[in-house]
Amino acid sequence: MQNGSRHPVSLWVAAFALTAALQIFRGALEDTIIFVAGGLLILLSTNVLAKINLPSAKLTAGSNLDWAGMILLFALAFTPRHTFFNLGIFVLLLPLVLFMAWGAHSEPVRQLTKRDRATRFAWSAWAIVMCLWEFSANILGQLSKVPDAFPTISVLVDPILKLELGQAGFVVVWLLVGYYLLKAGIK
Amino acid sequence: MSTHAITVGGYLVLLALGFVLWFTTRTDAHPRLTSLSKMFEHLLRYRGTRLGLIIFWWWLGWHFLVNVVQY
Repeated sequence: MQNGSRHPVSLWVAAFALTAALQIFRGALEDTIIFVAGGLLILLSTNVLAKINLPSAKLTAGSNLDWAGMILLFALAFTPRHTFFNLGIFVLLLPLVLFMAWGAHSEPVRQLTKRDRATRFAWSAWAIVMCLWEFSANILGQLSKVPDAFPTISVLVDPILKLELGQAGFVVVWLLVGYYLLKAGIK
Repeated sequence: MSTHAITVGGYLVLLALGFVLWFTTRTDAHPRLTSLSKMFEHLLRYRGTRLGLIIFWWWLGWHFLVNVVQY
């Protein structure tokens, strides 16, 4: 979700602003702060801070990420959720992953091909429809007097995480996605 | 049909469409579309995309493992 080097404002800023608005509607203060701060950081990263590069590859080099992933797996997969322990891990994790994702380059050297653009359009359309469906369920669910009439993805997934195997499976998939994003992003 | 079933059905249809899109392009042999991994490989070269995805990823973990989901 980026409109190339011609426009300095990433479409991610708009996506985060919309999500923050939804969090305000939900009355979720922490999530609102996360999405507002995240959107501002992305905005700054493509404008004022665009020329600031960080040696992120040093942190993701070798087996550093493998070890970090193993520690996180044991810390999060088999321990109770919603604890101060988890809170501490996530507070420590955020600056680390931001540092690792920042990287030493802000834009690609090669421009998108016609096939790349078509693929980006197809997946963006899919993601936008999915977000609109989720946002609609969230809004209608809060307006409805009937509980669970319009379930969101969170409401559908959370009961699975109440099972030990479900929580472990979620943590494994979540860590694999993060691992891929950091490894592929820093190439 | 209840609104619950329609909502869940919508998610399942979208998941199925995403799977079909991924499956038909996975070998990167499709004439008009590249594979999802190739697209990510290119898009992750944008700092804005890297930050957007990693913050959203972090939030997903936060949402399910730290926050309590409101029903």
